[in-house]
Amino acid sequence: MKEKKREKNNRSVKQYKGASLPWSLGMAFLTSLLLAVFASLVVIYFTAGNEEYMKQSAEDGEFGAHVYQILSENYTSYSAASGFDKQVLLGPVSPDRINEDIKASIDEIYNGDGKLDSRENVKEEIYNAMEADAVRQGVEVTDSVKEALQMTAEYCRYDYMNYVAIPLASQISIIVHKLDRVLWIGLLLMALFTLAALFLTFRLAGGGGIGLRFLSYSFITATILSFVFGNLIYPMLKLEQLSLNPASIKRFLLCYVEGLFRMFNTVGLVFAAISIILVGFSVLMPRIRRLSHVRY
Amino acid sequence: MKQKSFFREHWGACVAVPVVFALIAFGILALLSYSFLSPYAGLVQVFMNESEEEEGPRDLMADLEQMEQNETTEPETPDASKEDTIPMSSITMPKEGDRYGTITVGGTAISCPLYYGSSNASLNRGAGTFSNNLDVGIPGRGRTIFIMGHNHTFFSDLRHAEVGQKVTIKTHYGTYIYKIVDMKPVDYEDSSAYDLSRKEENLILYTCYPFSELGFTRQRYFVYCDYVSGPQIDPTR
Repeated sequence: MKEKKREKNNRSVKQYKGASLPWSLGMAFLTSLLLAVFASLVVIYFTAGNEEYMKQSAEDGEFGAHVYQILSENYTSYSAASGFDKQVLLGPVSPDRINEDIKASIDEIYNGDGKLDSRENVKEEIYNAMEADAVRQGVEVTDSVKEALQMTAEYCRYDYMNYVAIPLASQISIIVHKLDRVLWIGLLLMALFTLAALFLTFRLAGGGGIGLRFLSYSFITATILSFVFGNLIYPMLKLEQLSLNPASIKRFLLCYVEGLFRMFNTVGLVFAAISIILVGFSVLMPRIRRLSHVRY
Repeated sequence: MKQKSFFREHWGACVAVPVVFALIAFGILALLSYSFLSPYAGLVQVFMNESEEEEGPRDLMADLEQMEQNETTEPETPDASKEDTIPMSSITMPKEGDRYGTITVGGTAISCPLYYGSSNASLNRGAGTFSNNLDVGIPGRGRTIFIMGHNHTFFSDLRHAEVGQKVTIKTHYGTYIYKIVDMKPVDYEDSSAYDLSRKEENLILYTCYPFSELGFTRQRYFVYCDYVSGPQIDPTR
């Protein structure tokens, strides 16, 4: 009689305690999707929601060097039309200054209203450089000469203002400010949903080692999705073919988008680490339980 | 029962299940993308170039110059001395930024490369042919050819141009000669100084004026030339 009872107990221990298999698998799948959405929000938080990322993209895309090359070509032409050595016009401009100014423009997008800087200081510096050079050449700086120099400096300012700027800055600024408000709430809600889904997956699968195994399915799937987003989606977009001028902005945009997708790899690594831990525990837990049963 | 043990115990499930999940997820994503984004696919194409690498400016004179260096005899080019017209299909039409010739103004020191387009890059390297208007042409097209250069560099000696002097434009498809008939300084906003709609071949050279003035000036110096010789491009062939 006692033996029969023990046999029955053993069978009940082995017997599955959770919901049906399709429900458990369905929940695990849903959880993996929620993890992927959560990963996307995290990526957006660290990229589009982060001004430092945009600044880093400008630096990685060698924005300063590219713009300097364009300005150098334009200012060389202006110097050939105005009678100065190109170094006179280019003197106040450098790749480092361009980088600093574009970073200030990015700050303006995130902390201000994305207003375009008219770069009056560049005009003033170039005008002063030309005036000094004219004096050095022994030219009398009359009112008509001043007017001609002002016109040249204005062209230089206009070019600098256009090239050292983020296109559609004020519109981007509006989006960024809205995103800033919504992102936190979105992240918090998604974190709660994801945690609830993880808990449900664990419970529906029956908890213990099997629950952890189903959780690992969700995390491994999220890892695969993250790595695919991080490595395959960007080349598929073929953004190199984008017809965008000037080249400095195109390079900047490509760096920005590529970096955004690459960020998925970092999230994928975190998911992969969690997956390994979960698989490890799902293997160890039944053994620990078996050992505790023997001792008991 | 067997199925249950696979999902809960078999190692292969740790690979198979996530892979199947991922495929389903991508299937859903592809379906959603197709449904929501396909109407905008045409719009996206507008902003895409056909080739991945945009072709840079070409040097259409390089082959001709190479041939001239290698051969002691006159190179075989579709020249005016041999033909009155040349089929358009036989020549490589220049694109924006291409070097397609050289220009020499008799009686002056002007002898410089000739580019198609008047971008800053072109004007830094030689004279530029105005290309922003459908009516203007290149030598041989039977229209107004509008060529500009900077007054402090390539066209600084245009001040010494005189009526009767010859302007020679050597292109990759033929050599053209024009004769200077007039010249004058005009205000930079005076559009009556040139007629881009003329249907007979003529050449206008143009630079900033006064020549030695510092800074951007408000006057331009125009040199007008009549066509003398050179093969006409036949657009029907």
